[in-house]
Amino acid sequence: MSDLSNLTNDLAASWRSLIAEWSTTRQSWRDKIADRFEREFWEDLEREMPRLLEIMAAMDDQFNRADQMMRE
Amino acid sequence: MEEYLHVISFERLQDLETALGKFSAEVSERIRSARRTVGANIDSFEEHCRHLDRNLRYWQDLYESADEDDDLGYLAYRCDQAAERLVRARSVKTGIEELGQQFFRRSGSVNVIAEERLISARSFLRQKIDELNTYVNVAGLEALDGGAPSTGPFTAAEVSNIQAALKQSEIDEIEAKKVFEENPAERTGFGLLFGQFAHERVQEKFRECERRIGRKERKSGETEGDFGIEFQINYPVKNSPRYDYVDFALDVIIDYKSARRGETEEEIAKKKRNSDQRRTHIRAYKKKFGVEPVYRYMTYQSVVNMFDEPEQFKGLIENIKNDVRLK
Repeated sequence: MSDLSNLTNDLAASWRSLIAEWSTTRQSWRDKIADRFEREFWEDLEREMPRLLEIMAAMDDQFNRADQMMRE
Repeated sequence: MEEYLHVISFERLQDLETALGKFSAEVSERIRSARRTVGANIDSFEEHCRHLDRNLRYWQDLYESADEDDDLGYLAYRCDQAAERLVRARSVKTGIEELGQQFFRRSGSVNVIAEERLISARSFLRQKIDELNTYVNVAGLEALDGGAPSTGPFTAAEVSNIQAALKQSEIDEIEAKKVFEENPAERTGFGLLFGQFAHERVQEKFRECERRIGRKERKSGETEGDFGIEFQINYPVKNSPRYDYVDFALDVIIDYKSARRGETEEEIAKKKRNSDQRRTHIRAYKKKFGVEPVYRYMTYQSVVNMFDEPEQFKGLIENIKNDVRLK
């Protein structure tokens, strides 16, 4: 069974890197346009990405269990 | 332009735009791989469950077709064992299927964000970067972004012309410098006139630039408009503050000040950091609009050392005078 954990880790690393960029930008960008950008483009991503990573981690656990069962 | 960017570093916005592009590409690729992996793993485990089902039926068939010579206890044990393995596997399969559905749904949403929304986000940022570039270039506000000191309302060529004209007046033996040294009142009068002239020039320039990008001027007492020039706020202090230039969308105030030759806008800003005028300007704006404004300076040549020979003119006047004498 293929390992999902590497993909999850890589995706989490990409996400952490983007969060750092956004956070640095946001510190010096405080106006209505930044609010609009956050509302239109960032908030959905900020809501969806952690959930996706959480599901992928849970799936990885289940696949590991399944893998053990297949080896029994 | 309906909205305006606060002046932040262009590089920062560009970095964010680049980071979004990189993230978008990485996420699309990784989600594609993850979907393939999850799909393959689910198929593989479903096949395993089918195998366990076949295995159970095999032992059940053996048990049901067994005769008195067969070891019924052993066959019953194998049946129970196969059934138990199948039940456990089906339980895991149910969990995997539920998570799989969530994963495909969620990864689909993230993929749409990565492949469509982030493209719009990047395009939005690029547009804002362009607008900011245009605005800063047109309005000549380089100093707001920490750039090089500007020459105020004059181009570098105009500054040179003015300086040359002033030097020419020396050839005409007006000797303004000497006159002003001997009669400080003359210099003060000239300074006031020159300051007024410089203010008018910069006001014209601001208005022209703002008009070009479709922005509307707000006059004192009005509530609509994007920017104000010589804008006055009623504020309970001795003198109501009057702003040389104010951008209501960006909350930026620009004060136009004379500076001695060689003095940068940063130095002026440092010198005026605690000035009463600056404090009053900021306090009044904050009270009136509820926002702490950005306060910046633009400069024009002070008459104090206007006639001092700048570095680039060293020796030039003497040469011109010699030329005139030779003729």
